[in-house]
Amino acid sequence: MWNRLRAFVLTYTALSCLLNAVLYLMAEKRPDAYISTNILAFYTTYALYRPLKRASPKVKLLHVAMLTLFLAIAVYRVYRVVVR
Amino acid sequence: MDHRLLLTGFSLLVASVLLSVYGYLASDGGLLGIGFSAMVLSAVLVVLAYEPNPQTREALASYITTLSKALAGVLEDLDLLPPRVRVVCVRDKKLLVVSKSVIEPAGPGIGVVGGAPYLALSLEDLGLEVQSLDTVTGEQVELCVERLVGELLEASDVSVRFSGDTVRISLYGVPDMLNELSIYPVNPLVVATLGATSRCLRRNLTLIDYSKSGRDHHIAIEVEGYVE
Repeated sequence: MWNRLRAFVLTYTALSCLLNAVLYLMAEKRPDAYISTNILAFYTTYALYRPLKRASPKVKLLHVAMLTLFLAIAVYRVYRVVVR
Repeated sequence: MDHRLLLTGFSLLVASVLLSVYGYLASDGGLLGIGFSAMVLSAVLVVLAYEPNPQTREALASYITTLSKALAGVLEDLDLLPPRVRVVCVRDKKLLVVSKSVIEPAGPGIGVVGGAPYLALSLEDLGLEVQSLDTVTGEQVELCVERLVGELLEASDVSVRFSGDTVRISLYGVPDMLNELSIYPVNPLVVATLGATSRCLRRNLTLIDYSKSGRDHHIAIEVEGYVE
């Protein structure tokens, strides 16, 4: 039986695979680009489906980890641009 | 817990780690990136596998509603409305007792003691890890009850206050599913709160007051004498 959570998982997985394939075909060599687009895919799909009515502490921790990782990658890239 | 999602997540994690290692050894940034990206995906799948399936919640809500309606019918037939709700420890078993007066039930089920009918339900172990505390008052007990009730009922805030032999528990922002069930005489919300409180205290409990305001519920419980 279809439900939001399963639809979210399927869409997020498909989007993640698609983005990874596109990046690889474009010969992207920076690993952080793959991670950051994956995180963006996660939040885009999450915003579309809103699979969880109420986030448990584990999910809240996942959000914190994802946002921290994304922020770290963004800061690192900005730093590289500024230093250059 | 969704076992299939958990298995998929862990399998993907293993595959992504292997891919990342290969990508690193082959000095291929693309494969390394795909490996890391797959690790993120597997972490999401593993975390979501532990989330309760919405269908499970709906099934549970349906079951509780059916049970509450059936119990309401039984209480009506036994002329136990409005009910006096207590939690009584009988031979190391906890029983939720619904009666008109204070009685000591022989065991679970429907019975009569001194001409007074009662309905007693066995409160199974709630599956929560907590050590029973012998003292009535104290911050430890308040925290224990707050944690259990918050975990069981997913209220946005729980407040527990002891005053003498009365404990007042306030639940704020109770989910709609549980809020709708509060209309029944054997209120599942009150049952869960009594069960959680009795888990922390080795005492008999009596529900003395219950009020509701929107999604906020206020429950007052009297803690009776010590039971060995």
